[in-house]
Amino acid sequence: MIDKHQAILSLEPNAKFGMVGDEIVDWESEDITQPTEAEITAEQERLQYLYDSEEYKRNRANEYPSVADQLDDIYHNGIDAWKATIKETKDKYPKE
Amino acid sequence: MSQINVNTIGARTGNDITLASGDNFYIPGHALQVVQGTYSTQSSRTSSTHADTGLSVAITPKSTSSKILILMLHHTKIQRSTTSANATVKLLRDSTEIESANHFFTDAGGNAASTQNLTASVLDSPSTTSAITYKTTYGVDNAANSETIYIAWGNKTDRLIAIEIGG
Repeated sequence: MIDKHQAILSLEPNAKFGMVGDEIVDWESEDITQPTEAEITAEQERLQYLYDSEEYKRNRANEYPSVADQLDDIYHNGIDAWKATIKETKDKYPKE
Repeated sequence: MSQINVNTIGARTGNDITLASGDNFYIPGHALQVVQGTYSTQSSRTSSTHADTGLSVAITPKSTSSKILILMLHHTKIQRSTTSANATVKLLRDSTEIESANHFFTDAGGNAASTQNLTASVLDSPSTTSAITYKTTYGVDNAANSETIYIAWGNKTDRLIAIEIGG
């Protein structure tokens, strides 16, 4: 779950504030209006949706061979073989 | 074991009713014993690996059905030479984490610093009559940019109170 402070910073990147647990205990930015709980929750849900919708990218990135191994693959086996290797990961983690 | 059923118990003389020395009186929902641990030496940590704060309290429950109400207070300061500081105090029964309290502060201008009282309260059910120790550990979120958490900030007294409640 996206942390509450991440959502607040997404809404107000220049805000100066302190939190204990999930509670805002110190809002020091007098020129910035503190977001409401509803606004913060909505932003948490929006950021969580964005994070979840890019899970395939993170999974692919974790599984792709290193750049050095991919260059070695191209050198020894050619572009088509390299594309086949990469496609295995892409197919394993399809774009939603 | 025999049982006495009465509606009222009164003192035979005076106004006090005293239990014989060494005996215990178990009343469900009532406090059976209270113990407190304190720590007043300002200490700091810059690692994300948690370490003992030095605050602990030991208690030996009188019954396996008892609950232990734990009250924690830490006077903390967090600071970091960048925009955000983040640190956590954990409450443990022996080696088992039962609660955590997080302290976060952000300042877009950099050099984030904040003091707060971190509190936690837990109604624990240890189900034992052996001695148990409640303690706290502390650590920062990201050991970079001089991120630091202080406990007993200003040498104020941090407290851990354990209250056994009859079950």
